[in-house]
Amino acid sequence: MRSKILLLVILLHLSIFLSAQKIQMLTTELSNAKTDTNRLRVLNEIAEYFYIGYDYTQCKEYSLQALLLSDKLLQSTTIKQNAGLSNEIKYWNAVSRVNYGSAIIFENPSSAMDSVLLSEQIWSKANHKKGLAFVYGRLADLSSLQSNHQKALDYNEKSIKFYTELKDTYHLANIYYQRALFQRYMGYYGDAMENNITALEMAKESKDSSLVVECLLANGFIYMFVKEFSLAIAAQQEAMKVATAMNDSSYIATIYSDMGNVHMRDGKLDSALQDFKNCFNLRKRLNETLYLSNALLYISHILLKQGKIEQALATQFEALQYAKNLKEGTYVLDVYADIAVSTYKLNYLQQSLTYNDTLLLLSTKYKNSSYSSIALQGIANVNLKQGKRAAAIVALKKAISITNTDDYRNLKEIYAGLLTAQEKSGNYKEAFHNAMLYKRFCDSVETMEKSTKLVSLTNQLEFQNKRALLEVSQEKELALKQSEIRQQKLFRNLSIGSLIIVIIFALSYFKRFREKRKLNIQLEQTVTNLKATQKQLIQSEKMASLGELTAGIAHEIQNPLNFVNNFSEVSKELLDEMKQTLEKGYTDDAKEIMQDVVQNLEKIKHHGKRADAIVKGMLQHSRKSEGKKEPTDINALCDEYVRLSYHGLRAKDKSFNAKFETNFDASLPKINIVPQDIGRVILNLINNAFYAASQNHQQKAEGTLNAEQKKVPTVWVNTKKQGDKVLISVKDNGRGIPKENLEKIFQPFFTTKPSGSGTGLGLSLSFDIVRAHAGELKVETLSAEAAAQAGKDGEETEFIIILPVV
Amino acid sequence: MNILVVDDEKDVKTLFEQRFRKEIRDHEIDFAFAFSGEEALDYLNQHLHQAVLILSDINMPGMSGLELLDRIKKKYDTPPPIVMMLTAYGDADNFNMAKSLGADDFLTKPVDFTNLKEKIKNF
Repeated sequence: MRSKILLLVILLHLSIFLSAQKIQMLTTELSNAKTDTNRLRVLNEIAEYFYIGYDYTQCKEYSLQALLLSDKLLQSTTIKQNAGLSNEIKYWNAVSRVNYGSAIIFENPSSAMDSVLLSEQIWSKANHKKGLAFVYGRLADLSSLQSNHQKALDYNEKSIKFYTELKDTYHLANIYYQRALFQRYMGYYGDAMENNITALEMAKESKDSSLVVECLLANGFIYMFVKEFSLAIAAQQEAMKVATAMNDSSYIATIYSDMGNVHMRDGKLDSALQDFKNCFNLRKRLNETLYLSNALLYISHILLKQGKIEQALATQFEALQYAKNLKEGTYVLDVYADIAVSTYKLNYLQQSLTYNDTLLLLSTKYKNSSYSSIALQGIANVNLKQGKRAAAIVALKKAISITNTDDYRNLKEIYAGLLTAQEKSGNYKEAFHNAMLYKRFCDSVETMEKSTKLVSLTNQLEFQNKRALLEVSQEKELALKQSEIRQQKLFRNLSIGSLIIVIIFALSYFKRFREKRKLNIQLEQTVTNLKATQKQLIQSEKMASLGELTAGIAHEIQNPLNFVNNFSEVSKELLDEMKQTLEKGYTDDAKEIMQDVVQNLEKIKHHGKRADAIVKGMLQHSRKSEGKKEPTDINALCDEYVRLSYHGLRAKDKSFNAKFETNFDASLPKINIVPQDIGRVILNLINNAFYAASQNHQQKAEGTLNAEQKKVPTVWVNTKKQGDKVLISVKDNGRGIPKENLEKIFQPFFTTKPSGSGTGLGLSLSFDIVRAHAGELKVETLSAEAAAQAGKDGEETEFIIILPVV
Repeated sequence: MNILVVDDEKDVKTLFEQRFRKEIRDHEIDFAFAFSGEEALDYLNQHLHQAVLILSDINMPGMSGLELLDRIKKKYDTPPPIVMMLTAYGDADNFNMAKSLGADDFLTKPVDFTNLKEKIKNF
């Protein structure tokens, strides 16, 4: 953790030294400035360099001066009359607002943003591209400072847009560099590297050698983060060449420090030690006091890793001398923490206690709870070693109270200490309690580490892909098509990568899931409930279509029953008559009557069977589908359902007045389907078709549509054999389906019928049924406009069920 | 007497022929059959004024019995043929609709042929 802090400090180096030199030059320029506008420009530039150098107090002072000066100048009447001059001053006025806002970003974040955004508004209104490019770059910076990296990226993109329009390569390079930095913070190493390279190319073009060095070093860090250590060193060596050519020792020192970091992470401790020593010597010569203690601490870390504790301690004491001389007190904390640990390791217990006490005191002063926790743990460790268990327990309990609840690593250590202390003092009950807590934090740390590892793995993976991509593109000029192929490859790689990640995830969380079995049972119950609800919905959809069927069935069944009754009645009459004619001896007449009776009995049988089939069909429809496939005559099925639908609708609605036409392909073979299921689909489509056709007609009748558009609402049901497929088409001349609904019609619960009229499940279930038969359900529709465009006569919708013959 | 029976059920023809076999044999009534509203209009166009009585079903695919009734009553007004409606749906809506369109009578299925014979004789 401490090395991370150091790393961040190093990252700030370059800009600080760069700005210190510039500020010196600018201050001289300020005292020599002859015009107010010149003074304004220089004041703002100084403010900007102080901002870059993280000196917010100075930045605030200079930007305030610029703000006041520009405000005053804008009041002057002579300037008001000079449009050009007044515009220039207005520009600097806005710039000073931006700088002032930037300076108070930590002091008062909300009014800081207000101040900057005010300039953004002014420039936005005037469409002042230079101003906008500048302010968006700054807003990106400020958002990043507030750890809002996504917002930073958004602003950065806007800035890129305007600088690109302005063709300002110099600033554009800086803005790309900034983008890469944000992406690195977010762990998007691949993107960061790409943008760094863009920035690098631009910096080379505009001969901005400082930025060239910074881009190379930034890439060096990226390579280091993804553990490509040799590439990292290569980038740093290139930076070293440029810095040497520039004869800039400050850069060279920074590069040594960067290299030391890479070597240290790579386990090459001797090289790392040499790098940090080089860095320290250069900085000492340059009198860069701010970083001397850090450089020494790096050296001490290496020595510790090499087991040279005495040497490390000596180096830390040297670091302490430099840190103590600094205005910024926080540097000392790093040093005291390290010394406390080293002395403890060397068994200088009393010394360790003293340094921990000092660390506790200072960290409390600087409100650094993490260091306070470390100090208290150090104190406890010393006490434990000295056998002062009670004192150790007191220190540890205090540590618990000040440690952040999400600081698992420290908490784990603290509970481990407490556990040992209590065990030794025979306080088993408390020890047990703490053992439980210790175990819990071990788990948390483990989880945290795993997820960190996971994130790092993802980042590495993504980076490798990006790099592979980049290398290929550098090697050859690739045609657009090839780059597309590459992209596909990348996506594939990425998805394979994410698959691996998912597997790792699954494995690492398996244990936890087992513990959460209770939750799983609950989830299972929810799923079961959902399934039951789904079943209910399907059943209610069945019942709804059954309801639509009932009226049709009543009519359909009434007719054959009438025939059965009538023919049997008339047959009785005929037999009576036959008896009479036989008695009279007219055998020919009797034979003729007998013929009629035979014919009637046939009719009775026929209509009896017809009624029987209807009842069976109804039963099949309402019965839970057993999913039994059987060879079925599609034409008969269509005929049956179109009649049922027609009579059903007619019975329900007296004004219903539609036609249907059927055109069945007699060559259709019987196909293997679940007849009640496909029957339901057909019924559903026909019902919808009749609904659509008559709906259109109604609106025409009500005068909402042109009289000339009047047409008889018609539904066509056709079957056709096409290769090894059977096509069932249900077409209507209704209004057609609007484009925006077309995608949704097969979704569950989508309906255009008035609420309560449709379940919205009909087409969705139909779709599923047809798919379960390895078939397709397609829809083709022509709205009125589309029909007119296609030169077709009117609107129509056609649903086609395509079923395989086999 | 000429009677045109309109129904989409083809067996209606057989049934009527048997029910009225005496009347047919004695040439008291001549039956013609049409199986849709359209067919009925065709017949009427070709055999103007031959049908004195028309018996029509209401529920038929295509032109419904009510539409047929409307057309007949509008087109053949001198003198209009007698139209009796026959339907399985003996509800008030159908009845009122038929009456308002000028139906002379309204019978529900199943047809009571004794009753029908009475009515025909009275016309």
